[in-house]
Amino acid sequence: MRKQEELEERIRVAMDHAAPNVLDRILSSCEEQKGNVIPMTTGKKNWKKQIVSFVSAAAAVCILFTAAMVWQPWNQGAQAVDSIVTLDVNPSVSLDVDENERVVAVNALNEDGEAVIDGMNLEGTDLDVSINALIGSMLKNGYLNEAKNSILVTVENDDEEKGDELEIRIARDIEKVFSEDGLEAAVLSQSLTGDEELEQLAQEYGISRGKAALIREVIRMDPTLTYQTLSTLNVQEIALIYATRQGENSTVTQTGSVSEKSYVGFDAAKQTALSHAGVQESAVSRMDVEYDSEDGRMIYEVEFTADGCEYEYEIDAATGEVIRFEKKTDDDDDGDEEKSSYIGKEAAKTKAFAHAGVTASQAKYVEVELHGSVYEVEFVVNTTEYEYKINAQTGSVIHYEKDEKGNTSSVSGTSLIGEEQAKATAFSHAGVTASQVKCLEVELHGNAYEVEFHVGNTEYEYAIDAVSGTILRSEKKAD
Amino acid sequence: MKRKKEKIFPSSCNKKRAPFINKVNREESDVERCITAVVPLPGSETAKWDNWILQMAEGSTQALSQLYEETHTALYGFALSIMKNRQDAEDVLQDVYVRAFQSAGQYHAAGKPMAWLLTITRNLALMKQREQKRVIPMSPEDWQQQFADRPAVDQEDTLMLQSLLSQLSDEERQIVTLHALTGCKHREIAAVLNIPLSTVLSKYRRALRKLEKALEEEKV
Repeated sequence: MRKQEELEERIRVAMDHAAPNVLDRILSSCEEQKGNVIPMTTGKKNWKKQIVSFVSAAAAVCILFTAAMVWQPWNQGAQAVDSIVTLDVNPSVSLDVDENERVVAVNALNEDGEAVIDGMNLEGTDLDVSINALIGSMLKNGYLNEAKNSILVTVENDDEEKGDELEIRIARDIEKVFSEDGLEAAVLSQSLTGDEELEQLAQEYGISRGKAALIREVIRMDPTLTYQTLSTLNVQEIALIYATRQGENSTVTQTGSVSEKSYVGFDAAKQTALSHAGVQESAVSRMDVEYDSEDGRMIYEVEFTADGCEYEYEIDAATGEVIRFEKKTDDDDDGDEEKSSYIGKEAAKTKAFAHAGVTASQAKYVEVELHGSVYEVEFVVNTTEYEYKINAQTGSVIHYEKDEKGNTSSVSGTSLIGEEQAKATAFSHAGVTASQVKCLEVELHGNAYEVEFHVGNTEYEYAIDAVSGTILRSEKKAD
Repeated sequence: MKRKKEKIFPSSCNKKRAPFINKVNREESDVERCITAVVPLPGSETAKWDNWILQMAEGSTQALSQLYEETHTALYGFALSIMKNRQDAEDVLQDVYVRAFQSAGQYHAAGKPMAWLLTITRNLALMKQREQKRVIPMSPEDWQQQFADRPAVDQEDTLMLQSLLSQLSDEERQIVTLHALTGCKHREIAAVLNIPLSTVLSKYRRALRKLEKALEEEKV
């Protein structure tokens, strides 16, 4: 291990010598900006409240008072705010717009929103120019692209008709910006008039009123969903969840279709669930697939009935992997679940602790996840990090790693064939001898060894089942 | 090598990588807690840096200078390992401290100043990369010249920088650099880079082996 420290020391020295001194430049840019750091929330929030109080016709005195406060900053012309236009993607930006559709103020409603505005001075420009610039910036910064094409447009105006008209116009503008880049936008749009509840929801969950309104609409369609989970998702994700649940009298208009490019798709999710369950498609009597979210990641919820059993699957939408499944017989609601054939997360933890010779109370940051038929258990004891793979059916230790202050010792349980055997299997299949092989790499991934090597100009790649030693995949490629 | 592999083993690659990535995302708060609790920097340093960041929020450029002095090598190394280009890394470094100064007021989760700075660095570096659409790495031959005006960079340093650049994959380089420069544990590195701990561990080991071999060969 001395070698490791030596190498790291050399890296430190090299970087220390290579590092530039840019402190002066940093200081001068900070000094410059010191004067004009504007806190982004407080003042503007008051104004939003005013609209609400205006609508609900609160005490006239209050209106006069607050109106006077708002007047002052923008007193260089007829600049009363007529509408508030909010764009939500993940960046949320709102524009206060006057009667002539000129932008009076631009507010970033979250950190990404700030990044999108990025110093652009949009005040005084026409609304359509501003929208153009903001959407352009979101595209440039990767918040919007082919796979992430959903935008929520919210127009708040006391005059409902005017709000609707503006909403449609903005949606069209956005579609135009997208089509110039050869992309299709999915624009969700809505117009709101003052709404106390939305203001409260927005405050509580730290989101825009527009996003709160969209979430409220989604929950109206599916009351099992919650603000808590939906508020952490971006508009693209909410739009997908919404798309599989849309009902009647929707308050949100949608044009264009929400891209599913980041996800495996309904069919793949269905197939994965069916093949995991060992059920033929022809045997299925009812099938229901929906987008949902679980701990912040997108999933497909696949539910189907076949041969008198009810199946419920959660499939990771990005990877197509089975996260969770349940099988119930129709007439028995609580028992007989197939997942009981696995030892369970608690038992997996216990096995790992016992193997490591630690007690449950010593182990910190314990994480257990089921991947396929393997539990992955990670935990920390003092300064040592442990990682276990436990066979979900038998509870035997397949593999474990122990990392102590940077030194890793990796030991495999007896049930694995071992790297040597994996190599030997690959070599004999390829018809080569160890001495011919160059650039050999063997890695354990999940339950398979991946063996890569070159012989002459040919590159070989093998995946060998780590338990049975059978060849799962083989590839041969001329360099 | 990696790109080729993804072509050949598309399904296996997706399967083994993505769930971990999600896991890391989902449990970021746990990981952050880890960063504070499991592997604190030497106590005095964490507290000192925390304090400087608090002062920066009040507008103290002196605190900023002090923080810069103690952390810029690590952040530069990290930026360089992402950008693979000296000029870009320098720009990122500059932006990081300006951004840190601006957003010091939002730094509330005290106790993990390095993780905070690294996250800013990574975000800005990735943003810059997106702006440029593609990375413009320096070729190994460039390295000698690029650092020619840095008298402190000697033959041995150039060799190390060159090996880091040419021998390691992006992730390997970032992992090794972070481990060497920041005193971060593998678990923290996993959190900063948003990749599973097991990947960090295996790549770290492999990267060191590669470096060792590369330097060995140069000597001969």
